[in-house]
Amino acid sequence: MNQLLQVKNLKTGFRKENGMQNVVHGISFHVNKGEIVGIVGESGCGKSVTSLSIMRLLHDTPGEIVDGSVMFKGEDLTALSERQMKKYRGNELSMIFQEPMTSLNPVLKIGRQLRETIQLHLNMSKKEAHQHAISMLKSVGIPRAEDVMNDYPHQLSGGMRQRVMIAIAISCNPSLLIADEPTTALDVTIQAQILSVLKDVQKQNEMGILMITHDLGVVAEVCDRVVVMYAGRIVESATVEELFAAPKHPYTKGLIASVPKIGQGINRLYSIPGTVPSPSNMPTGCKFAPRCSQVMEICKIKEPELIQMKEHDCRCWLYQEKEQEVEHIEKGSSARG
Amino acid sequence: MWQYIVKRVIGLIPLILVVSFVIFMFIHLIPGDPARLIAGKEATIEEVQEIRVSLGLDKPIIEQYFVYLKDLLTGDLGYSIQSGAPVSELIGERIMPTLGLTFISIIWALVVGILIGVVSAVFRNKWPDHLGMVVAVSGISLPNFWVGLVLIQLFSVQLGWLPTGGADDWKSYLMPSFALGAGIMAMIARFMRSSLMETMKQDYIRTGRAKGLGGNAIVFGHALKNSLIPVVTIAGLQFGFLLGGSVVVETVFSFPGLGRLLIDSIQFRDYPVVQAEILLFSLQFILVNLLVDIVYSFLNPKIRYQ
Ligand SMILES: Nc1ncnc2c1ncn2[C@@H]1O[C@H](COP(=O)(O)OP(=O)(O)OP(=O)(O)O)[C@@H](O)[C@H]1O
Ligand code: SF4
Ligand SMILES: [Mg+2]
Repeated sequence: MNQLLQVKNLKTGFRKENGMQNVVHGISFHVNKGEIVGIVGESGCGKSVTSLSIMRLLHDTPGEIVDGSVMFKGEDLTALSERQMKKYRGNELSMIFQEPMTSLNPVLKIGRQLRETIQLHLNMSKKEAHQHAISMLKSVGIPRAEDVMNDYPHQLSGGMRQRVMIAIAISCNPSLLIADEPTTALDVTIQAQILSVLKDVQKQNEMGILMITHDLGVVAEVCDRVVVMYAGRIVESATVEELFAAPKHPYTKGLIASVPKIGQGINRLYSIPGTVPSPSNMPTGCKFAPRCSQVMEICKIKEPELIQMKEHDCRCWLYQEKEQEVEHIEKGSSARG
Repeated sequence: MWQYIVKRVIGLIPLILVVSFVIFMFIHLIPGDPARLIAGKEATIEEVQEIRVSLGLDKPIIEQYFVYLKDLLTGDLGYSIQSGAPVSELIGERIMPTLGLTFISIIWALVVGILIGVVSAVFRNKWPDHLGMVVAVSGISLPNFWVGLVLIQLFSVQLGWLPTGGADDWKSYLMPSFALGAGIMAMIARFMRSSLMETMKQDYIRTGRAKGLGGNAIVFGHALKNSLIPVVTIAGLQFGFLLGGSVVVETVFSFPGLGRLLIDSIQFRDYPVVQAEILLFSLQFILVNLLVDIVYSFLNPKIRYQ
């Protein structure tokens, strides 16, 4: 079996005073062994909620998986008890977060924070775990690894802390690493270093990575395939080459147009007009319609399906048999009227 | 670490000087002539003046302060107007019971307060939390003299298990330290609860979960130390109130401590004793603050490494 992770029709919502409010609306995608899959989309589209759903880390929030399944190595994670799930986290399935400054415990030494995971999952003595921790720090390119073991997080720079987070995450040799915006909080040169560390450890350990980002530059740099999300839905998914060479969805085109290119003045940078609709105020038809330059009548009435076209999925009326649908709708409305 | 402590202690010296000066000035601003008090009502003006000179009260006030300071450094706190005994002796007799009482009170208040706070935070909005917070609210809202009177009524008068007062053996410490610590315990419990709940929202707690840690490892291994940082500050402040509270509680339990001594000497306008006691309380407060900062730096590596 080649599929490492298969998310099927995942729906996640948050409990509000007036009932559940879904923020992830039935998304499906997969990650193969040793593959790097990107999830891109603007802030608030549900990327983090998706990753927390896979890790089943929503219980400190009012969030809840409403429907769907998360198959990991043939096991449905959504059906596991919390006790069983704990054996996966940090072990087979690990995660790093956006904020390296706050993701490490400020009052514990780096060494302790690394050893903890190792001793929890790998059945090593304290001494063995210590040695393993040092080798992990070295593998993510931390100089003076022995000294860093005795440091507190505030003694390290943001880039170094993110390397420590990666070292912790890969210390039990996971088959899948979920990286939720691992470089967003870092400055550009450090971003590039962290990405190359991730690529290196991915090659060494044949790990799959789910790379969550709002930066198409990151996707182009490291991913094999990419899933584009908008308002809790997948709107397009393809291989990275295909997506950049022949983007289909107007949203994806907009995202690509807004990536700064060398030689382009900053003032000519394109950005998609308008803002992401809030979950409480969703348009009825295509969720992107209010911001789309190619919007048509039908877009406002009916949401398009995610249609598969040769390894390249897209959710947009421009690529669907809209005539039939329009006829269908018109018939329906004339019959009623 | 040691460097930090030494630096802090040296930094306290000017503070102590200022405090001693302020106390000295205030005592001298209080209306009422100690020389007349010593001499008695029938004494002539000459006699009073003689006493004034012998005590150095005729000298300029600044000079009096420096004499006072010099005596202080040699351990001479003057003589009680009321009994004529050296003040250092009077305080020496009373200091151990009061130190014992405050120490027991703060320890049990810390231990029980932290425990209730942790349990409440872990079981938030379930029955252990509700129970814990009822205990905490009662502890804050019931005045300690009232708690003391109820305890005496129950355990001494009705049941006859515990002595109503004194400081003769460990039994006589039980009720006063309970009455004295209850409010602080309650305060600490509430702060501990909210601090731990706040800590549980932090990113590094999520990291801990992502590592596969269970609830206990998260709370005790990761959250507790962080959430103690604000609690220590509060505990230190509460300790200041505890010094004041000991005056009330010692009176209720006729406990032979510094608090009672203070009340007695204020009533008699026994200035040397009052002055020495207030200085002692201030010193205690300053030392507790120092202790808080040291514990704080121990909990928080960022401070330690500055
Ligand atoms: N703890 C929470 N309680 C209530 N709603 C939440 C919570 N966390 C996220 N949401 C909602 O879920 C939606 C998706 O949020 P999510 O964090 O997944 O976005 P994101 O794509 O990761 O964005 P970003 O790029 O800003 O990280 C948002 O509309 C947000 O309001
Ligand atoms: S469905 Fe219509 S509105 Fe939506 S992206 Fe396609 S063209 Fe634009
Ligand atoms: Mg996010």
